[in-house]
Amino acid sequence: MTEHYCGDRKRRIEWMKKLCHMFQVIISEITYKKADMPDSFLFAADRTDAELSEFLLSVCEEWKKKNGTTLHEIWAQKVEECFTKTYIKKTDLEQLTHLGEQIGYQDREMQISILRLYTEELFRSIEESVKTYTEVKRISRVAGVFAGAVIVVLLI
Amino acid sequence: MDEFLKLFPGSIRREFERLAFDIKELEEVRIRVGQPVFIHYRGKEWAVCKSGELESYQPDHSYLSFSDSDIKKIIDYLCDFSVYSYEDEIKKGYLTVPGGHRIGLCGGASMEGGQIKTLRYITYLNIRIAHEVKGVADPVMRYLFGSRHVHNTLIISPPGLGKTTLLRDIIRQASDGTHANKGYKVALVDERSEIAGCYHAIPQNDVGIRTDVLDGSLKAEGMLMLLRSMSPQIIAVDEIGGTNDVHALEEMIRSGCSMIATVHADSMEDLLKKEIFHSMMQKHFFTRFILITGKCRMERQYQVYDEELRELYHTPFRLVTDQCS
Repeated sequence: MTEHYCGDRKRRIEWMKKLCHMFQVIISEITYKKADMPDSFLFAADRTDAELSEFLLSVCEEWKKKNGTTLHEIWAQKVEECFTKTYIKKTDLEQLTHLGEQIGYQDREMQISILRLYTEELFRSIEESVKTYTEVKRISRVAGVFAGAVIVVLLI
Repeated sequence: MDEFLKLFPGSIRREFERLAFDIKELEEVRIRVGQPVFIHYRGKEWAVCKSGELESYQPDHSYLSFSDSDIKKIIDYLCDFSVYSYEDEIKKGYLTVPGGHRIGLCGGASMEGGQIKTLRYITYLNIRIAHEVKGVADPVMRYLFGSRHVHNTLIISPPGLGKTTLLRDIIRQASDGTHANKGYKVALVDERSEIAGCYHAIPQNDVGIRTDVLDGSLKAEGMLMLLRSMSPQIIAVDEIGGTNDVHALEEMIRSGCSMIATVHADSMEDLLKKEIFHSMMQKHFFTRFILITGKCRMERQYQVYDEELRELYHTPFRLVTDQCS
């Protein structure tokens, strides 16, 4: 019962943590190597979880075709293709899509600041989600114990 | 044509898709904010109509033009949406893109300490289409090689007659070797990415199998670095002119390296008027000179001279088309 109510929340938290790590790798590529976005994505793809790696690689592959589509359009398209799963909230996807619209317009410092701001918001979101998850887990455990007790009483 | 269209994002690409031209004869595309788009094609300037047709500019006609936001979209697209990553190139005023093509940039400069820090607003583009012409150096190669060495060679030409194209082909043939000569280790200082046309330090033009390219470096520093690190037999540079360049050249020649270089001048007399080169000639640094003269890129002549300025060879040289403006 606990697993049913808490499983998706737990997976979402894990996903956000991996997303944070992915952007930290991208930020470091931009900071230390002044790498462009596609190169940063390729580098990060090698150092991140399979699901996020697939997302980054598909963005890079589509970008390489140079068929006139902007990077933002490709980013939005791939966010929808790769992450429309049950445990990821719609607001999470909207924020990730919105981030894509802010990529590439700024000087290096601004670009790093925007990515850092996003990861800070992710951290806050993770903290809130962990609190909520802990609370829901506790409640569902209590509810589970209570339901078990009721069943025992009924059987008796 | 595909390679040219890939330079542009979707909406702007569609404007150029209407144009019907042979990319091999396209030299330049000039985009100026709010002004007609001009192309230099087959040695002539053409204004681009909105229908895609080309015609000589007429003041009362309406032509294709782009706004500042369109030009910004082009720049963002060319820079892989990572303009910060191309700060150094933008500061120098150009971008090199896959295919070796160069995009000259102009607009609002931001100054710091008396130097250009960056271009804050880019509102003018000069898209120069790279044309690699293999074999253009065939008539002159045999005059550049001695029995056991390569002559220090200076290519002299006014702008627009294919001096860089000739240099590139000489480098390629010297590097690959020919039926008459073995291949040499060539080191190339490509300050403005015009010869090898490097994109992410990968040459987009064929400069030979034994050529090491230092892209984007100042000539003098680059020559010294290559001499120390790559043990070249030949060092090649484009457009020498400053005192630093000449001093570095002297050091290369003294070290035993052969040099191939180019310089801007209309004629030998014009070259000798410059004190720096007059001094070099007196010291016999160069033992071969190739003078390029002509009416335009399509019709030009090569004249090869020895160290005593005796003519060894000359011929008119035509490319595929002999159209001339």
